[in-house]
Amino acid sequence: MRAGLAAGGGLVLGGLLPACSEGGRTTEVASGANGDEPRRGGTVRFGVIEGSQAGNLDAHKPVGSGAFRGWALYSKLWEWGLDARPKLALAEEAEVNADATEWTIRLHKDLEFHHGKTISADDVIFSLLRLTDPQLASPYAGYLYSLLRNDVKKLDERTVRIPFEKGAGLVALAECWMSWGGIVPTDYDPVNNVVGAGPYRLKSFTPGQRSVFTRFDNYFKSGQPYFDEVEILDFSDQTGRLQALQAGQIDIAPNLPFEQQAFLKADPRFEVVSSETDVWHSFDMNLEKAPFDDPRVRKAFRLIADREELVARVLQGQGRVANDLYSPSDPAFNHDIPQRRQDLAEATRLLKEAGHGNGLDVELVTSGGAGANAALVFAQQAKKAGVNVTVSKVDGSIFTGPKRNDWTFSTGGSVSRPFLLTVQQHDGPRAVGNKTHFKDPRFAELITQALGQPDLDRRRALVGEAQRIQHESGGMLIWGYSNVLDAVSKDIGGVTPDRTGFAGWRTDRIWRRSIA
Amino acid sequence: MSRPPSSFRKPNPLLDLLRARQVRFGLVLSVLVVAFALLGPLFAPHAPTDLVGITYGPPSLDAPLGHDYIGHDVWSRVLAGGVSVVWMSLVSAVLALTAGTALGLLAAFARRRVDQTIVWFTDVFLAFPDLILVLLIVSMLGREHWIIVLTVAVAFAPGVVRLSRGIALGVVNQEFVEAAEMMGYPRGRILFREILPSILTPLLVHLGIMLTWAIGMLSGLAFLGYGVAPPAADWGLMINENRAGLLIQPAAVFGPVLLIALFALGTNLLAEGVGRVTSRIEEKTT
Repeated sequence: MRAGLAAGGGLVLGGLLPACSEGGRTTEVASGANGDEPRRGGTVRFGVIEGSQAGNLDAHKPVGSGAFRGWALYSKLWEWGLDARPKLALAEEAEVNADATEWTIRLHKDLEFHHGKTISADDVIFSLLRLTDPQLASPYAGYLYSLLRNDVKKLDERTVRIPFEKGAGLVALAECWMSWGGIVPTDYDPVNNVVGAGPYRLKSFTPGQRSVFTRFDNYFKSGQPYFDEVEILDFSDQTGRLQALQAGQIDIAPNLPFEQQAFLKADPRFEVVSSETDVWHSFDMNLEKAPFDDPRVRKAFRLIADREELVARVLQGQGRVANDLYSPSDPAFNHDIPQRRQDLAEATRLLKEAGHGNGLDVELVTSGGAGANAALVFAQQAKKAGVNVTVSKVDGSIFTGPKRNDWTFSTGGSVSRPFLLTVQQHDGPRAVGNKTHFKDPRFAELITQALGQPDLDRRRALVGEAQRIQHESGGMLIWGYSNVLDAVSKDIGGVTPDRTGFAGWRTDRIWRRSIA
Repeated sequence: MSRPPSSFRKPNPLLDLLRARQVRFGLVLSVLVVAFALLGPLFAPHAPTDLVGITYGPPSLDAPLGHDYIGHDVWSRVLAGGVSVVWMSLVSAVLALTAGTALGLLAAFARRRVDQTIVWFTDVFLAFPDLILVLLIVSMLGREHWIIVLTVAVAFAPGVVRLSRGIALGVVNQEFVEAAEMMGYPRGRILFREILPSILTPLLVHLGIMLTWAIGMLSGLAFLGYGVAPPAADWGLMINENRAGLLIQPAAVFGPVLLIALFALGTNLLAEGVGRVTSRIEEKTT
């Protein structure tokens, strides 16, 4: 019966059937080779970086490594596909009306929570209302700005109708939901009753240290997950985690820093899985402040950047050059806009035209990590165009503090997300994190239309034009997309390159090769 | 000053000092590191901010120490990165010594309420951990070089106050001070011309020790990101910048570590050595 559910859910996870029948060979070397089929049993230990020594298990407001644990604990109506697009998960069917103001979602039959209760429409409504509860103040609630909370309706035991304000439809509901909308039962409590429908159920949790999970046998994907037990260990620094990996105390280290890749690649016991993603890096120019209120200066800066060098130095080659636009994996992404390249002569000419012929002094604010390195490399490049960029590094709490959107020139970037989510976060109308203060009326109109346009071809036209505006006069200098690296013991199977960057997070797909 | 009329040779204190092996060794080491730091920038093959190699490129003939976290030449940065440590530690130690000695002498000489007030403030400051105090001030006021130097000096001054007051208390009651007072010399002259010379040796030894502390603290500040701002080269900062690549490009970390260690060791040996010679600890054994 549950096999039927998985098939109906459109989850094409071919070959991932229970491996009880497969007895023989366990090759330690070849990964993803033929005959390399999932086996059931054993345990796996993840090492995640948790700087704050805190963290929680909340499905809708994860703190620190809480988001990582959420992948084991909770299932959603849609989940991230390997191509970073939404795939139906707990939902069997989802329909949206012509202006995206009304979604009708039907659950699969006979789904269960960890504590045995059947998942019903009430639970979906409860989860949605909890997520958008102003009391909870989830940082993700803002994406559903036009949700009519009081009119969410249960049509029958498995069907829910979700309405949005007229003229502000939300075609990106699926994209939003796959990012954070864990379905929890009506008796859910993030501390005392941590119940979801994810592949593993909670056994124990010590904030900032470790959490242990056991297999949920009635998981909605037939035959999955594979491990008896999953353990997630929190590390406060990268070197400590690397040592734990080498000593065999952990099997998987997700989001490996680039510096460690050469070291682990040389070790035959490990595989470094490199995933091309949409994780983007930028320099954000504030359109409300001089000199960036002049579009010529913005264009000049975008022409100063030697993107190849930035990718080579800052991402250590683990990434791709970007064209001042985010979300290249989005089906609506405009690939026809020509790639911008370094052109110092044109940049100097534009700066002169804008009245900065005698040089220009700019402060570039950053807070460390890849952003700080990128800032230093850009400062060197800018010298060649007569621009003196002073890099000033401020504490992370100040960088993301109350003044976070007021910097004149700062480093930025974000995770791999589809276009309509990213635009709502960064430079669209109503964007909460609009560091560039980009407010183009035509752009805003196009985005609002795109958000309410369920037809992909029509949406592609809208997004395509919006991206042309961004590319021409926006405030972001997006120079690169970085890869995500995951270090995995060769004894662990199922970690494959993943557009989302979550290759090492998918607890339901991985298994141990040495299990007989 | 005229030659002493007596027939036997008056020992030259400088030669006495140089005769001690520890002093010679400390002096040579300190001078070498300071010379390296001051003259280094002249010999650097590249500017410290030039991007010339690949990220964490290994040592080669062109780059004896390899390249760092974004491709600077580590050798050029090591050569250029000592000036800040050297001048900042020297200036902050001298400032602390000057301010602390002046206050300590004043306290010992004036006694009563002035003494009590100075001692009270000193005790309060001493109760506050040095590094925390500096971090607090630097994170509030910014990381201009002079602010850092000043705050390190402020952090070290209370120790000097206590030391100078302690030694001066034994001197202020002696006859030559009373005589000077009776002759009506101004207070400043008594403090700095009569008392100061008699307590100078232990203070100079303390200066050397403070120098060692200052090197440690300034490197620590740079490591924590509160000292010299990147992309400028600085030994302490370089350790922090390149520690992520410690396993693949250790030279980028160990170069500056070695120089900081040698500088701290040199100044410490020198100060300790001078202290031992002047208090004649070695003479008892030989």
